[in-house]
Amino acid sequence: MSSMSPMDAQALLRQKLSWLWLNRLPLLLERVATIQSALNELDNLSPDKQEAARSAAHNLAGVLGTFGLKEGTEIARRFEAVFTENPISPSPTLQIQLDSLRALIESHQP
Amino acid sequence: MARKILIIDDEEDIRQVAALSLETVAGWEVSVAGNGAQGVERALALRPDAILLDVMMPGMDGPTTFRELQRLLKDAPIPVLLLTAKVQGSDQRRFADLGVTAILAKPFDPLTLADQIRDALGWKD
Repeated sequence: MSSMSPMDAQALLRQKLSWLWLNRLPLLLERVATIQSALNELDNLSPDKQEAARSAAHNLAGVLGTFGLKEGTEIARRFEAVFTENPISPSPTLQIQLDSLRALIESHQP
Repeated sequence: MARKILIIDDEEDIRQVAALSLETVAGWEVSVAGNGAQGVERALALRPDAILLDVMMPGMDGPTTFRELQRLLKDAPIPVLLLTAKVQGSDQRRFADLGVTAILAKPFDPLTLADQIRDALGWKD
């Protein structure tokens, strides 16, 4: 058992998570860019790019919620489902959803 | 003596958050592995008190890794908690049928992860 009080340990964990979030932010935004790149080429998407976008969405779905961004996880899961489909069903709201995801990540302060 | 936990997950972010959480909040010793094969190897070498195992991993996935752990550690089994985003009833039953100790939902809350593990394993410390 930790020698710190539970409240001190949770405060310390919040600090460490904030640091980790800032550290990982460029990589998370890179994953959003991977999805954006696939969206830009939706009419003629190569299998490699589709898999890269699915993998990026899967990663974001797994990690965003652990940093308190549950809504981000939900949006990322929708993109994971979109890029798992073959053929992909384009939807006019995909760009809006991706913009929301990017904005959520950029403005998040854990 | 501090509990020893092994985290097997292909996502580095998840490994880092879970390790920070369990080390900081519970004071447990955490080891990590980035894939199933490495996880089995570490489990045999470290003999942790429990294993957190991701379901969806490329190559050797969580269920396959679990069966390999069961086969190799049948004389001294280690409790395994599956981490999964698949929270539908049919998936839960399929995973429970494997014989894992518990199924934890992803994404998890780092502030309460240690408590979830304690509850699942009946640990008081």
